[in-house]
Amino acid sequence: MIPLKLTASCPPHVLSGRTVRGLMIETLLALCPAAAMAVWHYGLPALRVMALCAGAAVCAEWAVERLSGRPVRVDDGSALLLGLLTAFLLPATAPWWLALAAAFIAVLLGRELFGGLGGNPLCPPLLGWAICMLSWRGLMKPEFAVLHTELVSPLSELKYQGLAVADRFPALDLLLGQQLSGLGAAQAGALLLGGLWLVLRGRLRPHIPFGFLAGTALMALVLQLLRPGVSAGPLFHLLAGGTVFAAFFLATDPASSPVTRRGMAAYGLFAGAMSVVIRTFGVWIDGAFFAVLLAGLATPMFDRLRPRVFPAPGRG
Amino acid sequence: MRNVFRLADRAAPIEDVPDPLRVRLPLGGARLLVRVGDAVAAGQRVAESPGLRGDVHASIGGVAAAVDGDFLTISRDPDAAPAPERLGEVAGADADALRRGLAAMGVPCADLTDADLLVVNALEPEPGVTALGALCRFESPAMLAGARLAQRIAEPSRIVLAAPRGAGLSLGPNPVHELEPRYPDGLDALTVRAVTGRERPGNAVVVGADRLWLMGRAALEGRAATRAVLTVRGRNLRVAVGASVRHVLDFAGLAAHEGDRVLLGGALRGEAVWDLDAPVPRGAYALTVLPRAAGAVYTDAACMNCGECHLICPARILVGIMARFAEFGRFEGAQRYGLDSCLECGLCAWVCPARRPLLQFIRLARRELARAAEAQPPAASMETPGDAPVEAPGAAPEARREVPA
Ligand code: SF4
Ligand code: SF4
Repeated sequence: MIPLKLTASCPPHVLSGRTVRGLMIETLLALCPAAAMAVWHYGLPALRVMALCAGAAVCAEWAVERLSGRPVRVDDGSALLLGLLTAFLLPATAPWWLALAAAFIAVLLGRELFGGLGGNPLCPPLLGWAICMLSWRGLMKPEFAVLHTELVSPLSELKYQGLAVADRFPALDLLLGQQLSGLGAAQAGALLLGGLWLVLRGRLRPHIPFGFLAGTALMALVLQLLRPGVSAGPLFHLLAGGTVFAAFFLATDPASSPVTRRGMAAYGLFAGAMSVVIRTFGVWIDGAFFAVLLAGLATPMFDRLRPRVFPAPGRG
Repeated sequence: MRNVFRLADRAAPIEDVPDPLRVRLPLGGARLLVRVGDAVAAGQRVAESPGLRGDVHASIGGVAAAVDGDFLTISRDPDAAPAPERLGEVAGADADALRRGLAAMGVPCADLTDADLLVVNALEPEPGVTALGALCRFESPAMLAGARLAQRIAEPSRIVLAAPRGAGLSLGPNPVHELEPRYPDGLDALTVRAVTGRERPGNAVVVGADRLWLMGRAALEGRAATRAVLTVRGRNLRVAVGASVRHVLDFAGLAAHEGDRVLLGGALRGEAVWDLDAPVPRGAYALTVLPRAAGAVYTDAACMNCGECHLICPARILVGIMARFAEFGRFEGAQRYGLDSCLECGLCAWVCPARRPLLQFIRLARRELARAAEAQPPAASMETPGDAPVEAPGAAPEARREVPA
């Protein structure tokens, strides 16, 4: 009799069906409304930047995986997502080479240098954005694109014109993306929709995004009370610039964020609070992005906020 | 996701599977008391275990036909009249003597120490299993006798039956603590926590309903632990220990095909056998055939640090990090991250989106550490590394409900 070949493996023998790819696809879907809003506001240039970044990121990832002899897993969609997130940070007016540079930096320096998916100590799209910001500030700042659009950046209005001007932005306009920021990052309402959908689907744990929003609101409230008439209120800070984008899509980068419940909540609160602090006192206009990078550096610290493990059985 | 973890609160009645012509008894390191060629009666003690791990008894009468590795094969002549089962008894004046008597009947009882509280765990160990509920429901005389015996051994001031909510199970006059039947809360350590509100309290012992049944059977009828009740696709089958998996599957009308998994246990915690001749060990509670297409496919991917494994882990371990230590051979590092606390529920691997074989890493670390601990103290022992105990084909560990420390 021919012996029957059975499959033997360690338990569990069934899996949840969650995959990296599924996670990436759902996150991409969650970004679709914002991408659509970006095209609605900025037209084809926005589409061009998104396509360039996404294409560059996928090509870079594939090339690195091939050259380094690692298994090619570019089809898991993580590079595509990385590229799109990078594009969301750029102004729609970014020249083609800048879009490519940002995506390449995000993939190569932000991720592959550290061993690929899961190894990066900082949020890769933000690393690409930050390096481009430092290198080509004029082209990177959405505020410099005012010649091409009648949209204005609420955060720079606040910084340079004061609270009276900033108060003129109705919340609804901010939600609808009637503001100048990164081409996708500005779509606060659409991003909120996508982010909440991910949370409801259980694909995103609520601790970081809600911690971030709470931190932003609390810090804005504190500063408003301390400096009445100068600092903007919580609602403004929540909806202006990239707060929502950072809270739901950047700060939640799996590798560079903590994993314990308390760690995630503390990290979110910290990043949210820091984003208002940087906006208020720093030289950079949108502190949310730098705050995420800063919190990422502190992730190992937040990961120490871990629960005690279940007691081991007594020896004997 | 919620429903896949639901544990049964109903159970099918218990059916008897006819005894096979041959059983292969896992000895688990026990010392043989019979020689090949000896005639053995059903119920006869054939091997003696050190400690209180439970001696081994012939589950059918016949002839000791072969010893291979850690297994004793007994076969019987189909034409010969079956010899009557040899019955024993659990006797003893004090707890220690009772413990020894019980172990001599094949029931492991090293952990049945003095305690204030004895928890009888009637929560099923895994989704899809109904064997424990069936024992509580349909074998209540034995269960009650088991409880009385446990009372005399552990002398608790209280015995509590932990049962699924709404199942309506009872254990004589003892209080019933009803729990939401949800995996992994039926694991002994977690059930005790649910009952006492404390994690691994020193003054509580826990006995699974299946073990209590064996105890009661020994006390009431003098029968050794020669039977296991297995849930096989919704049916509950009482099987001779040592019967082949094939024998049980044939009775249940189940077939395994190329590439399927045949599991002693359920899909979350079962041990895969790679040979249908593998014996049903003492303490088994289910036999599952998992079609190839439904089976897990693990990958050699890197951890993406999403943390889902930690968030689902009932032992609150940072599994991603701990398993990475284990993966790269740094077992002490894994221990620092809580390796010893792992309950082997498998949920970490179940949830991992990178499909990393997390429980396999955990077991690797445990095995290597145990091996290192074994190798260290007796410098006098002349054992060569090649003599390290190797698991025999198809063997499955006996302590199925709790991982031995
Ligand atoms: S198997 Fe995994 S999830 Fe379960 S206790 Fe162990 S580490 Fe935690
Ligand atoms: S679930 Fe898997 S990928 Fe996520 S942290 Fe745990 S081991 Fe890593």
